[in-house]
Amino acid sequence: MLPQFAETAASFSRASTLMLRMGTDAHLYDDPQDANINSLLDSKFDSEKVEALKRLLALMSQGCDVSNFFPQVVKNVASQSLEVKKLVYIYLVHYAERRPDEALLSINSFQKDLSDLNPLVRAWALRAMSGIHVHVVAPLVLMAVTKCSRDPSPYVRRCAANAIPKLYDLDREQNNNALEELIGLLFNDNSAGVIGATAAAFNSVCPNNLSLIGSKFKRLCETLPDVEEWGQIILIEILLRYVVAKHGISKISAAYNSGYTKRLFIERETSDCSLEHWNGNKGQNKEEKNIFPGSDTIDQQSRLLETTSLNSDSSKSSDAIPIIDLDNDVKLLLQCTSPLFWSQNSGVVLAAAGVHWLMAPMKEVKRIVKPLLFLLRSSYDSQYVVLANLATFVGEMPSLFEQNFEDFFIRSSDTYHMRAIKLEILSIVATESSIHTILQELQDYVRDPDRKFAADAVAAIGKCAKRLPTVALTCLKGLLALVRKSSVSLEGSHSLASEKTGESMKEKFPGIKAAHLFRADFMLTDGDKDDSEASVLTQTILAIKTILQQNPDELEKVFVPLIRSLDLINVPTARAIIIWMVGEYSSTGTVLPKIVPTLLQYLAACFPTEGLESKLQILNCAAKVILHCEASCKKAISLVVNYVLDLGRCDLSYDVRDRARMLKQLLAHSFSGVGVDGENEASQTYAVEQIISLADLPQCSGVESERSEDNSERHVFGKTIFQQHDPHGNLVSAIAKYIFSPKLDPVLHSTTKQRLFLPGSLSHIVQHTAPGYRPLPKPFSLSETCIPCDAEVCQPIESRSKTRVDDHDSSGDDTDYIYSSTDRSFSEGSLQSHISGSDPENDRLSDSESPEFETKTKDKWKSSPNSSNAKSVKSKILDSNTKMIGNIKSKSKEVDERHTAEPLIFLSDSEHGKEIVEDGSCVPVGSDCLQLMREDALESWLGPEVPISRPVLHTEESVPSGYASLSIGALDAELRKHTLLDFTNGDGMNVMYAFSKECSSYSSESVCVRLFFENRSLVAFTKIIVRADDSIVSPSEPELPPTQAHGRTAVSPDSPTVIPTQEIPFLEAGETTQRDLHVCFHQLTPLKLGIHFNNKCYSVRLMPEIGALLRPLSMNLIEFTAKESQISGMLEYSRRCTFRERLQRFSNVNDFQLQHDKLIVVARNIASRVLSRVYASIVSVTIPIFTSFRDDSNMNGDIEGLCLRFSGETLLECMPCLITVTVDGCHSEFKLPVLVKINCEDTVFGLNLLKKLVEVLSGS
Amino acid sequence: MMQCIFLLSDTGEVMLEKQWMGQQVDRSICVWFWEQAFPARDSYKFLCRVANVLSDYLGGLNEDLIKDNFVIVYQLLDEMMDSGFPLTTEPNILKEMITPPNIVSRMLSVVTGGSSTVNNILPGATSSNVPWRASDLKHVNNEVYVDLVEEIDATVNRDGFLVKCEVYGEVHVNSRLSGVPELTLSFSNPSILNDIRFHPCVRFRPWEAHQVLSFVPPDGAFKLMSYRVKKLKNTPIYVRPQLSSDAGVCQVNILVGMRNDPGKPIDSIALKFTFPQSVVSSDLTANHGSVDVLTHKACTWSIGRIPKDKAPCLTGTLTLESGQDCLREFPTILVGFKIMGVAMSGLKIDKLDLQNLGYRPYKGFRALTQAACYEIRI
Repeated sequence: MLPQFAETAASFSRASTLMLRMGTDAHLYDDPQDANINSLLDSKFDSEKVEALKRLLALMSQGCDVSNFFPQVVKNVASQSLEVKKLVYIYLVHYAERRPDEALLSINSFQKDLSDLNPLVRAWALRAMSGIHVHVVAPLVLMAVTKCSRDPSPYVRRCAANAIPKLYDLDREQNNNALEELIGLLFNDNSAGVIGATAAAFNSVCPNNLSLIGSKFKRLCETLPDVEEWGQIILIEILLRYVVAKHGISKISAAYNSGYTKRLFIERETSDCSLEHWNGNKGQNKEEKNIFPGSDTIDQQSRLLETTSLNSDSSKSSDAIPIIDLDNDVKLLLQCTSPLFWSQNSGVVLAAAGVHWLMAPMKEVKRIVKPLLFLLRSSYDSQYVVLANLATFVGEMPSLFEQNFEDFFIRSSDTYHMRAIKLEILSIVATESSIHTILQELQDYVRDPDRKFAADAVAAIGKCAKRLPTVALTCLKGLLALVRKSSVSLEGSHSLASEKTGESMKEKFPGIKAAHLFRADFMLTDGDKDDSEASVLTQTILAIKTILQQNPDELEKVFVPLIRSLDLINVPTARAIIIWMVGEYSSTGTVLPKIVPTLLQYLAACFPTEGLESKLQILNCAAKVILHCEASCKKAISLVVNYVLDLGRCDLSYDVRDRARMLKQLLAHSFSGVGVDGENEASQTYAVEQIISLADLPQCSGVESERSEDNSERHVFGKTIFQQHDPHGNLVSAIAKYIFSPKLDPVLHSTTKQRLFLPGSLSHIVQHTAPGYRPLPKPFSLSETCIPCDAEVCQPIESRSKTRVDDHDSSGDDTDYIYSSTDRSFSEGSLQSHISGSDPENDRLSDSESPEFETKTKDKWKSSPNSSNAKSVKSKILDSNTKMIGNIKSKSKEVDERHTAEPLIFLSDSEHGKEIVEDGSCVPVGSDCLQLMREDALESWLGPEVPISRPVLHTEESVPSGYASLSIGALDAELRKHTLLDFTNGDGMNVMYAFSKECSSYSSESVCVRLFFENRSLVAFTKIIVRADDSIVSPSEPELPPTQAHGRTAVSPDSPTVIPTQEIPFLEAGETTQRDLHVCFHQLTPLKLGIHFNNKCYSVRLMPEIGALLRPLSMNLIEFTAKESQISGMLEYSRRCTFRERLQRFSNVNDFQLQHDKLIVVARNIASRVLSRVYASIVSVTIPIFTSFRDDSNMNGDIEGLCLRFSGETLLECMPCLITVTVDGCHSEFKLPVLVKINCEDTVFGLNLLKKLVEVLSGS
Repeated sequence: MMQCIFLLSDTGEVMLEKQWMGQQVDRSICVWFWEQAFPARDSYKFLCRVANVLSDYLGGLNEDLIKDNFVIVYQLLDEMMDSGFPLTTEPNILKEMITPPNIVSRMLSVVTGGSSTVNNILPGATSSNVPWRASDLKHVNNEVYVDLVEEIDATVNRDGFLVKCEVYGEVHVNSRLSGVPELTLSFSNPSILNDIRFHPCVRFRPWEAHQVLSFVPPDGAFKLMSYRVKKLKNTPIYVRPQLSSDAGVCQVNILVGMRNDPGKPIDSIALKFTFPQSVVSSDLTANHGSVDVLTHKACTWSIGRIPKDKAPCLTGTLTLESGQDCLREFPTILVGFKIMGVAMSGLKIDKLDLQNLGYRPYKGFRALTQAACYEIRI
C-alpha cells in the first residue's frame, strides 16, 4: 500500500507544480525547440510570432546562439503589435552587432516609429535604434536623438538622454560636440527625470567639461531634490566636481581642517602618469579665505606627457582670488543637498554627506553624523560599505562622532570584518567621558566566543589607553587584574587538572582569563583554536606593554607581578614580549635591577625549552642586561650571559645561532673591556645592518599596528656612529650600546589613514582605483586665473625656484618642468641661451622641428666633486617625434654655473636602429637593452663618476618628474612550447605547439601556431595532418588544400576557424618536423583538433594563449598616453601583483656599475617576461632616476616608479590594447610589487589578459 | 553605469542575460566574478531594486520562477534600465507597462492561447511630476491605513546593564484612494525622532518648517518613512540568565519576566541561543513554553505570553566535552517578542488630513512593536 501512496503523492505534487506553471512561459523555457521556429516567425498571427520570439529568447538565455534567425526576426520589426515589437527589439539589440548588415534593414521601420503618435513606440524605437550598435547608423541615431530630445513626452526625452552614452560609445570623437550640445539642451529640461538621465550621459561623455554646468548650476541644484535617486547620486557628484573646480575646497570645512583633503589630492595616483604635489605653505594664507589656493593637483586627463600647459601658478592665483565668506554656489549646493540626508537610498546619503564633508563649514558638518549613523540600520548587506565609509570620517574627525559611540557597539550578528572596523572606530572615538562605558563594553567582547575577535578587543583596549593617557591606568588595572586572576587560577587549575578532581573553577577563580591561560598552558598542541587563544593572551601582554611604555611610573607595580606569572605563560610570543620588557627595563626603578640577575638565571635555565621567539628575546635581553647593569654585579651577570650565549650557539635554529654569535662578538667588549680588533670594515657594516634589522623585537611578535617608524632613522644614525668612531676603537661597543638603548615609542598606524578616495566610492571601499573612479578635479581649474601659457617657458621656473617643493612630490601635471631642488635658481637668460644653444644640434639629430638638447661640457661636470648631500634635479624630456628621451640629473649646487646639459640616456627606438648620443655625436647601437649594456654606455652615463649633469630643458615636451625614459625595441623571447599530443597517448607521436610571433599569412585575424612533430616510435608515420576536430569541416572534402580552405568557410562566428596544416607525407622513426597551423580564435575556449596519421585520428585540445591573440602595435609614448586617456574608466583594469625575480645581491664594491644597472636588468626582465607571453610591442620604459644615485648600499628601494608600457591590438577586432606595468611600493629582495594596468575596449579580453599577465609576472 | 546583468541559478548557471552596452560582455565573466566579487555601491542598490521588483512580480524569487517567467523578466529588465542607467524603477509604473502574471491572465492565456503582457499605452505617470503614482486611479472603497511598525534593538551586557536600547520604526501606509489625494500626516511628539528617512513622495519643505509629512501617496502599500529613536530607558521584558559551570557540567537558569507593562499583552516571546562549542549535550526544561534543541546546538525556548501566575523559567544542565571543567565561551541570547497596538518609542500620530478629495475615505491606524536585535549577553 505504502509505495502506492507515495506514488500518488508524487503525482499530486507533480500535478500541483504543473498547475502553478500553467499559463507561464515555462514550457517555452524548458523545450524551446519543440516547434518549428522558422514557420512560427513567418506566421501571420501575432500570437504565433510572439511564441516564436519567446522561444528564441529562451534559447538565447540558455546560451545558444540564435543569430541565424536574424533575417526572419528583423522582418517582424514592422509589426503593429507592441508585444511583438518589444520582443523583436530585445532580440535585435542582442544580436545586431554580429549581423550589422541585416540590422540595417530595420532602420526604416525605426524611422517610421520615431514619428509614431504613441510616445511609447517612439521611445522604444529610439532605444532599440541606439542600442543596435552598428557604426553605419551613427549619424541616423544622432538625428533621432536630436529629434527626440525635443519630444513633447518627458519619457521620450529621457530615453534620448539615455541614448547619448550609447551613441558616444558607438563612435567616440565623431560627434562629441553635437553630443555635448545635446547634453546642454537636455540639462535645461524641466522634467527631473530627464535631468537625472542627462547627468548620467554627461558623466560618460564629457565628465570634465565642467564649464557646461556653469550656467545651469543654479537650476540643477534646485532640481536636485526632485531627481530620482539614481540620478541624484550622479548629479551630486557632478555638482561637487564643478564647485571644487570653480571654487576650490572650502577651507573652513571639516575635511580641510583635518588634513583629509591634502591626502585626497596627494596620494591619489599610483601610476607615474600624474603626480601632483601639495603646496602646504600656500594653504595657510589668510584665515578669512574659505578656499585653499595653490594646490597643484591633478586632473585625470592631463597625463604626464601630453601636458603642454603650464601649471597654474599657485602664488598668483591665490592672490587673485577674491576674499569671500562662502561662495554662493557652495551655499546653494549645501542647501540643496541637505534634504537628501533624508533619502532612502544610502548612496544618495553618502554622496550628500561627502559634499558637506568637503564643503560645509565646520560647525555645520555635524549634520552628516545622524544620517550616516542611521545608514547602519539599512540593509544588512550594505552595512560593511557604510561602515568603511564611516571609518574614514571618524578617522579624520573623531570629535564628530564621539557622542554616538553606542552606535558602534558590536552585535552578535556582525561579521568579523564589521567587528574589526567597529573596534577600530570605538578606539578612536573614545573620550574621557565615554571611555568607561567603552571599556566595559570591550571587556564584554573579551569573553566572546570568537577568540580572534576577543584578541582584537584586547588590542583595542590597549589602543584606547594609548590614546587617552588619563585612563591608561584604569585600563592597566583591568588588564592586570585579568592576568593576575588568571595566574592565580592557573596555579589552582594546574593542580586541579593534573589531579583531575572536580572542583568548581568558576566560583573559585572567576574571570575568563583563567581559562585562556589554562588553555594556553596545557593545550598548546591542538589546533587553530589555541592559536587564537594564544593571540588573546599575546594581545593582553602587548596591551600592558604599550601602556607601560607610556607610564613608566607604574612599571614596578605592574611589571613585577607580571614577571611572577611568567612561569605560567606558555605562549612563546607572549613570553617573548615579557622577556623583551625585562631587557628593556632592566635598569629602571629600584626593584627591577635587583631581581634581574635572578630572573636572568631563571631564563637561562628555561632557555633550552623555550620557543624560538622567546629564545631570541632571551639572547637580546641578556645583552641588554649586561650593557646596562651596574658594575658591581657585572661579573655575575656576564657569567650567565655567556652561558646563555653559549647555549644559543649550539641551538638547533640557525636564527638563534646567528644571533648568539653576533651578540657574542658585539658583547665581547663588555665581557673583557677590550675592543674587538681585526674586523674589517665591510663585515662591521654588515654586522651593523644585521643587528639593526634584528634589533626591533616587538614587531616580530606579530602586531602590525606597532611597526616601529624609526627604523630608517636608526639606520642612518647607525651609519653616523659608524662614521664618527674610529673603526678600530670603541665602535662595536658603541653600536651595541646604541642598539640596546631604550626604544622609541612606536607610532600607531590607523588603517584608515592610507590612501584616500572620495567617500562613498567603490574605490574607497576596495582602497585602490576601481574602474570608473573619477577623482575630484583640480581646484580652481575653472577659474580665470589659470591660463595655460605655453610660450612663457621660464616664468614658472622663477616662481618655482622660490617655492620650496620637496623632492618626492615635485611634479605638476601642467608644468613643463619643475625644479625640485630648492636651493638653486635659474636665471632666465641662462636657460634661454641654453635652449637656443642646443637647438641646431637637435634638429640635425632628430630631423624634427622640435628642439632637443645637447651637451658640450661633459668633461666639466665629470670633474666636479661628488657631493653626497646635494639634491638632484630631475626632468624628463621627450621628443614627440623621435621618442628621444633625455635625462637630466644634477647633484651639485652650482647648477647654474653649468651652461649646457648632457642627456644621460638618449635612445631612440625607431625600428631601424638605436642611437646613443654621446657628446653630441650619434653612436648607433644594437637593438636591445642587453647590447646597450655591453656598450658600457649606460654605465658611463649612470655611473657614480658622473656627479653632475645639467638639467636639459625642452620648450614643449619636457616633463617634470624624476624619471627618465628608455625606449627599447622588441626583445626576443623564445617560444614556449606546450604539449599537444603526448607520445604515450599518441602511439609514439609527440606533438608540441607554440604560438608563433609571426603574423599568419592567411588572414590578419589568425594566429600562427607552430606544431613540432616528433616520431618517438619505431615505425614511420604517414599522412600526418592536423585539422579541426569538428563535424563542420565535413569529411567529404578532407583533402582540401589550405589555400582553398581559407576561403572563409561560413562557420558560425564563435567557433574558431582553423586552417589545417600541410600534410606531412612521411615521418620516419626518430625524425622531427614542423608545420604551421593557422587558427582564428573567437573566444578563449580550447580548440578541438584532430591529428590524423596512419589513418587514425587522435583528438586533442589546443589551449589558446591569450597573449598570442594580440599583434604588436607600434606607437610612441604620446600616442600611447592619448590612447590611454581615451580608453579609461570602465575599460581600464588594473591589478597588483608581485614580480618575483632572482636578482643577485650585489654585495661587492666591484659590482658598482652593475648595481646601477640593476634597474635596467629589472626592466629588461619584466619586459622579456611580458613579451614572452604577450605579443605586444614595447612602447617605452620609464626609469626613476633620482633613486639610482641615492644610496649605494640599498639597491632595493631604487626600482620604485619603473614603468614599462606595451601596446598591441587584438587580432580580431583590431582594438588597441595598452599594457602598463609599474613597479611601486616598497621592496624586498626578490619581490617587486608591480601594478599591471590594461586599457582595452574588449572587457573580457582585457580582464583575461590581465589575469594572464599577473600570472606571468608573479610566477617564478 | 552598468553593462549587463546576468541572472545566475544556485548552481552558477546563467539563466538570463541582458546587455545594455554595445560591447557585449561574455558569459565567461561570471566565472571571474565568482573568483573575486566586490560590491559596487550603486549597482548593488540597483540589483536590490531589481530583485525586489522581480519578487514582487513573480511572488518570490527563485530559479524556477525566473525560468517560468523569463519573458517578463526580460521585459522588466529592458524597462528598468537603459544604457546602463536606471530608467523606470517605480513598481507602480512598471505594473502599468508590463502586466504582472496572475492567475487570471495565466488562465486567459491557456484558454485563448496567448495574451499580451505588454501594455500599449505609456503610463501617464512617466510624464507627471509624481512619477510614483499612476494617474486616473479609481477605487470602489477608498481607504487609507497608517501603521507604525517598530523594532527594538537592545543590548544587555554581561553585568546586566542595559547598554543600548533604541527603536527603529517605519511608517507603513496602505493607500487605496481614487484621484490624486494630498495627505498630511502629523505627529504629536515629532521631537523624539532622532533621525528619519523618507519615501521620495514626501516633501521636504513642510517637514523642515513644521515637522509635518505632506505627500501624494503611491497606490497600494509603501514605506512612507523610517525613523530612529535612541537612548530609550525601558525595555518591556527582562531576561536573567545564570550559568555556573563545574566539573564538566553547567547549570543553566534563565528567568524571564515583564519589566514595564506596555499596556498590551506581549506575544510570541522566544529566546534563542547557541550552545558553545564545548557543550556536548543538554538537558533543559521550562516551567512554561517549549524548549527545542536542534542538532547544531541551537536552542529555542518559545514562551508565547507570560502567564499571570508564574514567572517563566528555564532550568537544566549542559554537559561539557570531556577534559573541560568549566565553560569558557558564553553565548548571547537573542530575545524575540511582539506587542500589538503599542509603539514602544512613544511616537504618536496626531492626525491625518486628506485634501483634494471629493469623498470621505476610511482611515485606520495601527501600531506594532517587535524585537529585532534584542541581545542579552551572558
